[in-house]
Amino acid sequence: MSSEESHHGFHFHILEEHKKYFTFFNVAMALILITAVEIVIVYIPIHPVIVFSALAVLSLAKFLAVIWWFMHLRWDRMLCTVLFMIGLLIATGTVTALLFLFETDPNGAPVF
Amino acid sequence: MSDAAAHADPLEELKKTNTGVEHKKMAMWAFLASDCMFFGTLISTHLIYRKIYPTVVDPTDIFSIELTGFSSFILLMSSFLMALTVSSAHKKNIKSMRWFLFGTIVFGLIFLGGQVYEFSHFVHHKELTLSSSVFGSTFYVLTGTHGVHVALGVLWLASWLIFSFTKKFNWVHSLDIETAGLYWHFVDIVWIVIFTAVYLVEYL
Repeated sequence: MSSEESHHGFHFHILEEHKKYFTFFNVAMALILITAVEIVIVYIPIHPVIVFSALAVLSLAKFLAVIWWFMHLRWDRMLCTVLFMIGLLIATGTVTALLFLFETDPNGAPVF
Repeated sequence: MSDAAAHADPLEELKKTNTGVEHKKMAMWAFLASDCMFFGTLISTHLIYRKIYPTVVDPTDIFSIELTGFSSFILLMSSFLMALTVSSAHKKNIKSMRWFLFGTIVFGLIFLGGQVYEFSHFVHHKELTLSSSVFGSTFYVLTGTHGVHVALGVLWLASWLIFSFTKKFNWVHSLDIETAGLYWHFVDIVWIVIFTAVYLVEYL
């Protein structure tokens, strides 16, 4: 690689990083906004199922935003995403299976 | 040193692996995937005991949503600063990198301070201890484990901040900063889940 090509490559790299700065800022603002909405909606007198669904969607959006932009999965190789998703899916499956395994009876007594 | 060598990205050499991903970064992603399962078991333990012993304690009498909301804001901002730290390291701008890294550490310490205050308040004013109820046990183990992760992250980042002032620091270490950043962001996403599953859901 010539000196000029290398210099242009680094200059392009710097420009890309400058673009990321604004992306990170927008993501951070969105995360704060979503957190504020989460705190407010738990006090709104609407059906708990609706609030629960909204909380699940909002926290999932925050989770995905952080891993996609802040953790660079958007710019990294797909392999990193696949590797992390394997662990995440196993964890989610474990949590779901355990919650269904330990059902309660109508009187509130534990059922094993 | 030639101009080409001066401007070449030192990380490009490290990417020449079978997977095309640097080994350190790959190892960190594998660790984070396993840590997902670790926190998955802790969160499910808390939720299961909360479900089968629903009337033991009312968490809304104990929790302070204002404090927890503030802690969430602090951790999200530290994650933002960490992203800027990594970006500065990629731009080889050491001054910005140090300031953003310092900010990340300060925000991490504020979060830890909030957690210490929260735990202290719960123990002394709400009589919620590790052994007072099943809720107390699972709550402290889950949030305490997360707190330990944050504390380790702060120590890790602080060590890089100090190391960046030594002559041994060079731009190949930006990969190490990025790896530490991945860990820090992971701590943030775990808190996103805990904030919703442990705190907010109790108010429904």
